[in-house]
Amino acid sequence: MAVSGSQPASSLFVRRDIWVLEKNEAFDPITLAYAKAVKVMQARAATDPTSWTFQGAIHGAYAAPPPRAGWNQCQHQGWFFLPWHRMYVYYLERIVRAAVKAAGGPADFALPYWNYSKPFPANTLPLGFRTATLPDGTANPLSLASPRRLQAIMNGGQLSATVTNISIAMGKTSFTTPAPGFGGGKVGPQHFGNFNDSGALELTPHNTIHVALCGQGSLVGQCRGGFMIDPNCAALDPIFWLHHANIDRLWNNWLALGGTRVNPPDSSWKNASFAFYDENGTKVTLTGSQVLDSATQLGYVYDDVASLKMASLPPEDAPEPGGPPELVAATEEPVRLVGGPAAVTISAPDETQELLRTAAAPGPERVLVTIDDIKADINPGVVYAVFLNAPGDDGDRLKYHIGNIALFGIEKMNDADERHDGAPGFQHVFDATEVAGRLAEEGRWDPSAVTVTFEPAEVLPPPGEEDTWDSGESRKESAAPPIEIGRVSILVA
Amino acid sequence: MDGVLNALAQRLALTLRWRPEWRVAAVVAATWIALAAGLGTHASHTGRHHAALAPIAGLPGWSLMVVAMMVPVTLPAIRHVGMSSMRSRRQRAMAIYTIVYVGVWVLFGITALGTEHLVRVHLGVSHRLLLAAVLTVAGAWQLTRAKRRALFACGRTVPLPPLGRRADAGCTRYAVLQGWRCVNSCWAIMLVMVVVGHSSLVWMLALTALVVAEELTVSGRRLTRPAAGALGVAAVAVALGL
Repeated sequence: MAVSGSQPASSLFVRRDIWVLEKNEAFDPITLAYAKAVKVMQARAATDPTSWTFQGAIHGAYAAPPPRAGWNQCQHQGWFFLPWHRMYVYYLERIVRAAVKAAGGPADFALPYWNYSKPFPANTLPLGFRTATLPDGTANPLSLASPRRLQAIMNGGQLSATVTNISIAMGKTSFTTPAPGFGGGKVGPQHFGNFNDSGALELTPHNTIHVALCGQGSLVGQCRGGFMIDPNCAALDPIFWLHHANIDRLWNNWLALGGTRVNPPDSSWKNASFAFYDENGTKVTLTGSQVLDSATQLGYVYDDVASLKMASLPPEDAPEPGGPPELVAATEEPVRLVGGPAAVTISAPDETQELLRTAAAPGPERVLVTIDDIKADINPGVVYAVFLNAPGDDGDRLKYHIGNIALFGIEKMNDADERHDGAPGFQHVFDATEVAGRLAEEGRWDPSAVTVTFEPAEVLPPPGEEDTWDSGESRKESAAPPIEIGRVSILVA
Repeated sequence: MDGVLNALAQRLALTLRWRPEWRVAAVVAATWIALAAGLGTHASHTGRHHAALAPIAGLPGWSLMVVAMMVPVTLPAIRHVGMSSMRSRRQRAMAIYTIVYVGVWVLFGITALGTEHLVRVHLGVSHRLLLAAVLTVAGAWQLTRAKRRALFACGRTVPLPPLGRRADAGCTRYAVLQGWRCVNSCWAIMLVMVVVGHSSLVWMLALTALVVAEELTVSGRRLTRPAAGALGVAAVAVALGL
């Protein structure tokens, strides 16, 4: 499976699409090798850096860490999100590969990735992760029952297209600024900060997948509920690593689009150093500048790399920075989300209506929608898709989708003992320029009445099984824990 | 030459647009200059003869000191207010916030100056002993969970309605929230300044550097313990008359 190429490495490991591997069977050689390696790692002592527990705790843990273990290190809500998780997946993959080789499995093992943004069946949990037993009849460590994962997901339900929507992130043309950039805002190394600094890719599909796989009411702490929804438990779910391999792949793909899409040139980003453990349990460090090119520096590629190179645009200079976004309209009253849909209509005052009208026309100005002063005691386990002037049920609503609210990490942010860096205010920033322009073309852009709709993303039945499919869930009957939104604002930048 | 100057002016103008709080920062800088020039110094701290109204007489100097020391830590919040307000009322919103925030500290100052006067003049506690005591308290407070929680709650905001009196009320609420949070975080350090007085620029500079680092920098969390030690050492030194 290793391939030769022109890169300095003599051979490259290839991370493959799990749904291509599992096209005909739940346990292809790679998935089966992964399952067996996970089982081996789970049997190791929690103090062993190559154990499943220890590796999960590097991301986050409730347990007190051993001295200098380097737990609770995951970088979120800022520009270190992508390089840190690349390093994290890279070393986990090396540990898994060593376990695979020790068990006589494929020596060129590489983690697969889950590309949930493709149509059915790719938008359902891979078969090997929802089959209770391995071919030899023993328990499958890749399969986690409710409440570790949402039963509807385990029953083969489809993720909503809003949850898996990558077009918003891939449409970004800069890594950091103007916010929201692709990769996150310029912050210092931090475990969790503010949503304000999250990159578009981190918001969707990263956060949305984390939340959607677990569902409502699954966050009960101490890893007794859903794994993926809780940063302290997320990496204990084997699907975490395939999810992050996909996020890592999307970073490569975004860069390959070319133009102004480049990594930050800042030395503070390139030189930031993070610690991990290799397959020998030895502590190792990597800096951002050491993981910029996965092929030449880390020795792996994704199976779609060839097709992407053909789409590259020539390099461009980044546009000159403009002035700050100007507030043009905002709600007067808070909004409360409790599991069902909600909508607010925002009216721009006379003094800013013309500005908002012209911002929707073709030109350099951008229309931003911000969800301000977000408060939630716990993650409700609901992904709310946010639409601008969405039409009724008819038509392609995805055309009016500007982003999602999925509060991955809110419990970390609520922790008064955690350092929270970044600007004041827990806020989501969505770039709605394209949608506003579309609405203007349709004659539906009225600055005196802009409607922002919040809709919970549902797990959908497999095609053709709408009447017979059993989701295994009864959660619609109860309200979700609330999310309080202090203000919804429209800004022009 | 004109072209270079124009380019610099444009760059400065753009930078200032991204930093709507710059006028408040300028006021802070001016306040430091005024304090360095001795403005606001009153008799209560230059001589040791206290009249009954001495605490009130100390309020102007205290207010200047609050602007110099405590407004810098809230500049990000002032920026948040500015960026979250309509352009037509941006300056008003930031002014309301700043005035109310300083007002919270002035209320604290009235209480603290009065208490200091009572303890020092009426109970006869020496200045040296009192300073050693408040330095000890300030050092101990650095180690508390309450201090840490107050320090890390700086990202919390309240909704700011866009227009009218509701917008003014929102700015006021936010200023009270942040002022109270900042009092929780820094009250013990400011007690030191109550005793030392605002004529001591060295104390002011040192403690301002500490609170600004703690509140505004990534590495600030790590400063709380060393600062506690430094304050403890200072307390011992003062008590021993070193």
